[in-house]
Amino acid sequence: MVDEINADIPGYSTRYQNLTFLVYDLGVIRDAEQSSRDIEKNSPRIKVLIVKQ
Amino acid sequence: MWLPHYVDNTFHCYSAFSIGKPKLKTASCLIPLYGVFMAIVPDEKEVVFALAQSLMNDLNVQMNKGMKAATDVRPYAKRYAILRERILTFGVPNSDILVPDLPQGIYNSNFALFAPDIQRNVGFFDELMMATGQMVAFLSAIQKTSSKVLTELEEFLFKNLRKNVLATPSAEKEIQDIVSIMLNTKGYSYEREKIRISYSSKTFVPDFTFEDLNAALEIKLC
Repeated sequence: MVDEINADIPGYSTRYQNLTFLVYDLGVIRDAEQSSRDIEKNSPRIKVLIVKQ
Repeated sequence: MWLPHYVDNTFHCYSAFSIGKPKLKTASCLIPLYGVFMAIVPDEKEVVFALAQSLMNDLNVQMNKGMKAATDVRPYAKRYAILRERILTFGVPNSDILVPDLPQGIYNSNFALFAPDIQRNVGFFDELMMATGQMVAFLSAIQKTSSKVLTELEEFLFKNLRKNVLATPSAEKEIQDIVSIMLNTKGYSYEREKIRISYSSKTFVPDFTFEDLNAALEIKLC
């Protein structure tokens, strides 16, 4: 998931300033907060929302 | 030369979930470094806002110098008109009224002819000052609004998605369909998988895009 999001960011950033990733987690992510932080640290305009099933 | 993370301008990412020693991913995970950190496009609204503030500052400088009567307002009026044209393309309702057009006299008049008419020139200057102040206030307000709307949208999806998913989804598309219905019920203006972005020999298609918020929303299922 982190890899997929990181791969999308460069392309999307060329057109949009605000990027939101809405992740529906079926139970794979162990530490949602840490995962969000890892991606959001790239830019204050990137938001990762992890919704747990 | 040994570089632990950056090789040939490329960012090697490690899985956040790998246990023990991080493994270097292969080609699918090689992201051009400048893409992440340097390709952020400035927001058109922010650019216009900065230019309007710059115009306001320039007018203030002239006023503080006591040059209201002796300033040729036409170059300033042209800058104002260009900014106003750009603002109208944002599509904000009533922007043509809230950011008023200047009287044609300002653009067409010959400064050399009316310069001796101090009252008239001061009038033009004051009108331009007032309109520019209004423009700056308008831009400030719509920027705050966009940011607020985006935060509300994110909170709405985050708080309500779970209760709208009635069965365990097996594909990302199922979540996208639910999000689409949620966005429709709230009346958000968006495009779904319509915008194509070409970048670095690849084409990216965000799941949802919101042009008025300058935002893209991507759904992931994991």
